[in-house]
Amino acid sequence: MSLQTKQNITAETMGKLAELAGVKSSPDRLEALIARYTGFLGEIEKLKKLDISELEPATIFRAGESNP
Amino acid sequence: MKQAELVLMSIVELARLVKGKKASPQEIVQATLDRIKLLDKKLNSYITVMGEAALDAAMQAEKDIQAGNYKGSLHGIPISLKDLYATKGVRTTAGSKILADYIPETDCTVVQRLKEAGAIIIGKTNLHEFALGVSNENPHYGPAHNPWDLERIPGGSSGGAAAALAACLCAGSMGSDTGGSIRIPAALCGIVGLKPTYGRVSRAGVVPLAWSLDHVGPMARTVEDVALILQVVAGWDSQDLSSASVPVPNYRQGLKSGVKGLRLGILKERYFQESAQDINEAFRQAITVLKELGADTLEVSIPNIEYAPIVLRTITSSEVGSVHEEWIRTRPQDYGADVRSRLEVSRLVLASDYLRAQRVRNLIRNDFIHALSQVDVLVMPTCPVTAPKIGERTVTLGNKVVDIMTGTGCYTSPINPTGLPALSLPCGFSKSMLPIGLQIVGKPFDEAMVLRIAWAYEANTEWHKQRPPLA
Repeated sequence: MSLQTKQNITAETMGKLAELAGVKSSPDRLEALIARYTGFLGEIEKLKKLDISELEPATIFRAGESNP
Repeated sequence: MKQAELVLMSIVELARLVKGKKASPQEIVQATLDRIKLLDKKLNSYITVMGEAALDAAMQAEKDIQAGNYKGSLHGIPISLKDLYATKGVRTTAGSKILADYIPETDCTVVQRLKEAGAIIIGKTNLHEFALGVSNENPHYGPAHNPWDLERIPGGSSGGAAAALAACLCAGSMGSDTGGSIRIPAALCGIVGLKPTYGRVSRAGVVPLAWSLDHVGPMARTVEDVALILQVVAGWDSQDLSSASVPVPNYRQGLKSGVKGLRLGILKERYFQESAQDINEAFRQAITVLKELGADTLEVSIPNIEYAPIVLRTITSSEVGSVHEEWIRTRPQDYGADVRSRLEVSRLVLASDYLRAQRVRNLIRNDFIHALSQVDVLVMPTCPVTAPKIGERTVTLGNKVVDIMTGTGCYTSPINPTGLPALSLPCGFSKSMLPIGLQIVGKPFDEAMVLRIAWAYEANTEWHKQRPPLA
């Protein structure tokens, strides 16, 4: 999905996304949610400029250690 | 000893009196409870005051001490807890309606350790709902107020703890910090707050915000008091998977060793130069004091620091969305408006974006580690602004208007993804007498160095002795 497409999210699309995500969003809340989510996506785009090919995520655990 | 004198004292001062049997835990706790009754109507720093339980515990502490069983510097000392810490038999609300009736059956690890050290838990402090904000304007329990100006926020999310400490409504506290929630209120209220290294203090039994970014840590009115509390609560815990088995040093041992020959790193990125004029001036003066004490400075670079806030926000959003997955689906109406809005967005974060942020996290962490390889600590202002007014949603940084979370947290938030220890202590006041904080960031598990430099600065300044104009 291009940034432009993301920035043109309709209320209908957001309603479906929210439903999939388990978020109850009435029509009056959808516009505000679109604005916030679009802003958030714009920030994420900045991270895509970085070369992270050599980097693993900081979500590493040690095998052999059980969760409490 | 008069009540009015006892409540103003540091933990170190109180401990001397308790150990020497010149003041009893009951006197100290009663004095604190009386002061809470007098002032907390204005501050709203507590959600639950544990009056009877605290007095009972104080009575037991008195018996133990009289019998010769003195446990150490926290014995008989009133300590408050941000209302995220599971406390046996005491409601632990997380500042929320959703957990309003949650009464844990056991103490969390930190509370167990505090109680074993003889500390008296005096109450559970107000916070931004579920710790997901910086203003501490809590829709369910009311806003906490800054003791320096009751029309202003104390900062957050550990705002109640900071306000209670600044107003002397407890001797020490425990907060939590995911993007600045110990350090921001510490700076805005003029007290000391430490976000330890990730894994240094157990998170077990503390209501989470974002598991891989949450840090729990001590707050107090002096650096040595923070060191005392850290000594008690730090250390490996089998109940917390992130807990580090790194040995806990004696934090008081090198505390007063001075700063001669130490090197302070100052970031050269413009990022840190958008502060208000008062803040910049206070920061410059703080560096001058440290240089006069024998430290030197070196300009260092964190090339990717501009990405840190986005990394923090993405990781926090994704993880908090998971923490609240069930509640946001079944009880959305029970959240405050701002937290509900943030949680709705959080549920939409893609896994690929979360993982990208976790990869960039390592890039930023590597930058900080490299910078710290050249110096002993990094120093910077804690916040670029002083306390905003209650109800304000934005602050101005340079020529930009930004939301209040970005505005108050932009100097603290880059540290959380790195897991490095960071402390805020008072370094001045603005022209309108609002506190300003200095932030010191150390190497992993080198809280001792952070505390040492903080102590040296504090010992040669008077900011920490100022009290807000309350009763």
